[in-house]
Amino acid sequence: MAQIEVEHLGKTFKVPEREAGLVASIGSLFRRRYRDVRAVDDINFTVDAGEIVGFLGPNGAGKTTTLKMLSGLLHPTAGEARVLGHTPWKREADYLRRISMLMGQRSQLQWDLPAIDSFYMHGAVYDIPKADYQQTLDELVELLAIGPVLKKQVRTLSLGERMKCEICASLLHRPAVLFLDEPTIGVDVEMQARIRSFIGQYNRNHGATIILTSHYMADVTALCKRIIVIDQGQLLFDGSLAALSQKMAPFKVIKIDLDLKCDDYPFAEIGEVISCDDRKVELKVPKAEAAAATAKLLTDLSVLDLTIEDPPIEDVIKQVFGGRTQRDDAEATETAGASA
Amino acid sequence: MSRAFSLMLLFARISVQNFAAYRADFFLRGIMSLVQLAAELIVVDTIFHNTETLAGWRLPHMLVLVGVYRMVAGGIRIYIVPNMRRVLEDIREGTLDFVLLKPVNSQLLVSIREFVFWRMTDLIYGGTAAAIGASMLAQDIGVKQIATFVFMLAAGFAIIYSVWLALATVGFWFIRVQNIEMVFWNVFEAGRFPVMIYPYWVQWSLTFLVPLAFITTFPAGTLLADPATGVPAAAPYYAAGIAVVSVLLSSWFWRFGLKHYSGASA
Repeated sequence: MAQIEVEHLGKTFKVPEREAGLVASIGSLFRRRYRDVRAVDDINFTVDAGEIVGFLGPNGAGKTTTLKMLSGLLHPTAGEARVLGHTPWKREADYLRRISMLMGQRSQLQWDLPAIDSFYMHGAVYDIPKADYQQTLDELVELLAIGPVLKKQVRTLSLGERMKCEICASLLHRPAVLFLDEPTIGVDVEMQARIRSFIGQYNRNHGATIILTSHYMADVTALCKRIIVIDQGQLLFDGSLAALSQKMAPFKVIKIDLDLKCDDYPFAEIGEVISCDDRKVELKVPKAEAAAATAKLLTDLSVLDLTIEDPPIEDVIKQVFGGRTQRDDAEATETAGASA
Repeated sequence: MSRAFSLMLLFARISVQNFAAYRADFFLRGIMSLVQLAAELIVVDTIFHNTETLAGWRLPHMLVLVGVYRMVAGGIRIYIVPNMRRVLEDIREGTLDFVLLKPVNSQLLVSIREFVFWRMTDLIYGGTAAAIGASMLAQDIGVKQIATFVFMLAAGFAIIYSVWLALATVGFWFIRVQNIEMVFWNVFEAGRFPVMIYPYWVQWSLTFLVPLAFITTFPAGTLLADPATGVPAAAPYYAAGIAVVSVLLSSWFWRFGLKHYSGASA
């Protein structure tokens, strides 16, 4: 059964705009020009109960805006959405009690107090019965292994510890639908893996429906059977990871092990050379030409082993966004660095 | 209602806990607030060194007014201003998200999160000054007067709260409105004196435009119940009317503003 239904959802922001320079600045005091930015533009999808869906897209694609509309934070400028039978932006208490949104870049914990105080406050705000609160807290503390840090001031925690506490806080009321916006941002690889496995476990134990955005492909490949790709506010793809490779990556990767070293063989004429290391060569060839290229390589060279693979998902995504992902990532890192 | 009250208590407790982390401040700030009251009393003393009455208000009257002024200023600093300042910050930084995600009325939640506990000293000092002024009066103050006074104070707080909620709501459209606080306190200063001392147009503005008269002069006047102060006998009715209208209007404006909340881009 569909728990999240999104129909023709759109959000347009009015952004003030002006030319550079003093005259333009003074002019804009009196006459402001606005530009409409379509952060989300006519997107449709449904998510079934218990599904984990990954939202992919470069910065500014509209991922967070969509999540914010679904969690009731933003009013859309077009379209409809129903989550758990509610219209999110009406922000009914019954709805808000059943969802949670975790924003990896922001903290909702009380900075100067131990995390346990923030948890207690959360319990009171959500009006969680005492017994339920204690049971859920015990369970989360054990699963997330945060027992030792509960009584430490939040500001003294490491980023990873804090993130686990944030996760704990946002799950205390046992939400049926979870919106996770960059839940592993900034934490080290090992902690990423732990958070990931925890999210998977929560999904299995409680049948929670989860929409996840992440910059780390590993999060998505490990957790999401289904992904939705959006760029410039529009939905580009909705389906399984494998189907994404099929649809979005019109090339294959041919890996060959050679008997003899062949430095002078014109590999570049067959396909793009990804790597050429001693007697191992990796080539990227258009899907349609993969068979012919393989035949030619087998004829021309003494090949020990040959495999044809789909390209790694990271490469597919980069290809989809025309190399923009990388650049935006660099910008995002800069901004994050400046604000840290 | 009981839920609102228990949430208020909860946040007050958290604020006290937060504050306890900076214990040394408590005493220093208590002294600071005493110095503020002293400065205000010196001004009153200076004035009455030169004159017997100020637009009909005598020294004991003025002591009551200064006391009320300090109590109200304290009340505003305990709850209203810190919470609304935080709303403006939250709008700017996008952390209002966390408020809006909670299954609690957003206006209630943004209004009770901060509780500047040490400002209670203002209530104590102001109350003492007012009590001393009242004891210097020839006639006794009856229970009915005290009840009306408390009612007027409550109405005054409701009006100030509404004004502040509206100012904070403006933050949804104009991000840089922090300076508004300075403007507010500058205007509020005028409440240290009875509005009757100002030129007619200022009096009118302070009664109807920025209803400051309802916040200090009129409550003090009701307590004194002396026709010489020039406070209209119907002041409590006006106060009730203005309080109800401003609370309703500001609450509507808040809900309207929320629709325009766009969050700080993540």
